[in-house]
Amino acid sequence: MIKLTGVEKRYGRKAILNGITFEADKGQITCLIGINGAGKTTILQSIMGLTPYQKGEITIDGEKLSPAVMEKVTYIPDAMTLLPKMRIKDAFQFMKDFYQNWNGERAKEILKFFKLKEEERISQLSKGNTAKVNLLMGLAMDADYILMDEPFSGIDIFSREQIADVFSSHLVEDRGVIITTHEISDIEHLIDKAVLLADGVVRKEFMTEQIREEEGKSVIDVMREVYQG
Amino acid sequence: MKLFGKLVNFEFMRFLPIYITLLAVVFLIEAASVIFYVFMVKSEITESIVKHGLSKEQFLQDNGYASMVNILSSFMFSLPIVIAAVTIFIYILFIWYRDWLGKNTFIYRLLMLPVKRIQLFFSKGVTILMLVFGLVAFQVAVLPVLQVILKLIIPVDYRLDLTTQGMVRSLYYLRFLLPENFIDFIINYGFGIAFVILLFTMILIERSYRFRGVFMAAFYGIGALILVFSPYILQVIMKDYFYDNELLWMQFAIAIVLSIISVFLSNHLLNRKIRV
Repeated sequence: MIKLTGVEKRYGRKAILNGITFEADKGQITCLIGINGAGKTTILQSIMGLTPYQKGEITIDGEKLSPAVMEKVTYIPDAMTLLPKMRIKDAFQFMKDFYQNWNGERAKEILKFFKLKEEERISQLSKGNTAKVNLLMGLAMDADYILMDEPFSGIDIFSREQIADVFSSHLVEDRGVIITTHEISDIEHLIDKAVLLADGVVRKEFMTEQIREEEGKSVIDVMREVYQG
Repeated sequence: MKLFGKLVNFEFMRFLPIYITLLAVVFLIEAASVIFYVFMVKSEITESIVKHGLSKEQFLQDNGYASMVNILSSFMFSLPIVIAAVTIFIYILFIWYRDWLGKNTFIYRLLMLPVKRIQLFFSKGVTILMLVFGLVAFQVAVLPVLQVILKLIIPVDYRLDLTTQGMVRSLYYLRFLLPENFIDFIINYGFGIAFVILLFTMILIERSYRFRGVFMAAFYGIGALILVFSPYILQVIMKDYFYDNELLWMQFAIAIVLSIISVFLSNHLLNRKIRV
């Protein structure tokens, strides 16, 4: 379980995260929802130790963040993090060199799934394919948790569908996923838990199936209630 | 340790294309300066002996022997060395900033690697040291090759051949980078490594605190320089109380202490303050 307790983060006087507390379990897809500036990306970056936070605690399976614990988590940012001159096969080699939990076979499987070629150069990929390669690099790790930042941002509908298919595939099965997205309609039916954020605080946290069954509401209905009063 | 080796290799390979180009430029300009010199000397020999009928002895009395010493001290020979030194200096800054400011934000990937983050710091530092050692080794290896050009064109009676060691001693910057005794080697490279560590720390301060960090880094850098040169201030206050040697050792000790502090500070920044 990834657990955030009272996480606070400031840039100067501006509070970005103001006591964020929530949990994300293994085997569940947890979706962080909020408008731009709500703190979604900062939460993921804080979990990964890519941005410092001033207060609170983040634990993964009960342990504080450390290089060993971080091997349990893989992060898929919304920006390409591989060198432009690399070919996909070079990126595979890089990951194989540095990560014990890199799964080369799974990487090839996802490559096939996305209809990409190993010889393609990162700098020559379209925006949709860039997002797919980013996703591939994260999914091909044998990590217990996957953090995805806006995987649908700015890409065409067909690529979005392909990426959404990943969520219902064995590729994320049994793993804990934390995803941030604006395009909630693409994956609404796939997410298990929604965390609604605004101004750096958790406004509402709920299990989607429970709210569907007990209150007959969709995630978007709850979002309307929370954000539009 | 294995991953550290891979990190160093990865960093070195990223600069390799530029490095090879740099070495080629150094060789070509140095070779051009040797060729220019030997043809100038050859035409002087031809003119003096054939046209003016001077004897070999008279020519040598007037002009001296043609030698690599004359080339090594020329501006044209120094130029590529300056270019290489400036390139490596710029790379000390670029080696960090390219990971944040490059087309793709590679710093995400580096900071997420399953290694202690201070290893990124050391791998970049070792890469810089390897580039410097590589450049020095290349320069030493090239000197006898350049002398061959001299030997091919200038007759043996008109030239003075030098050993490689003789050429190294004639070239100021190689005398500095390849000193004759081990203590000087440690001191020269010690100061160089301390300087790189200081610059790296200043970069990490800026990357951690951004705009505020620029001033903090400048303050840290200036403070460190004042500390390193403080023995000279002490010397003025105490009216030349210390020997030059003692001043140097004091500076060296201060540089070591500052380097240790900078490494600890960099470790803290990389683990607790750095931002992507």
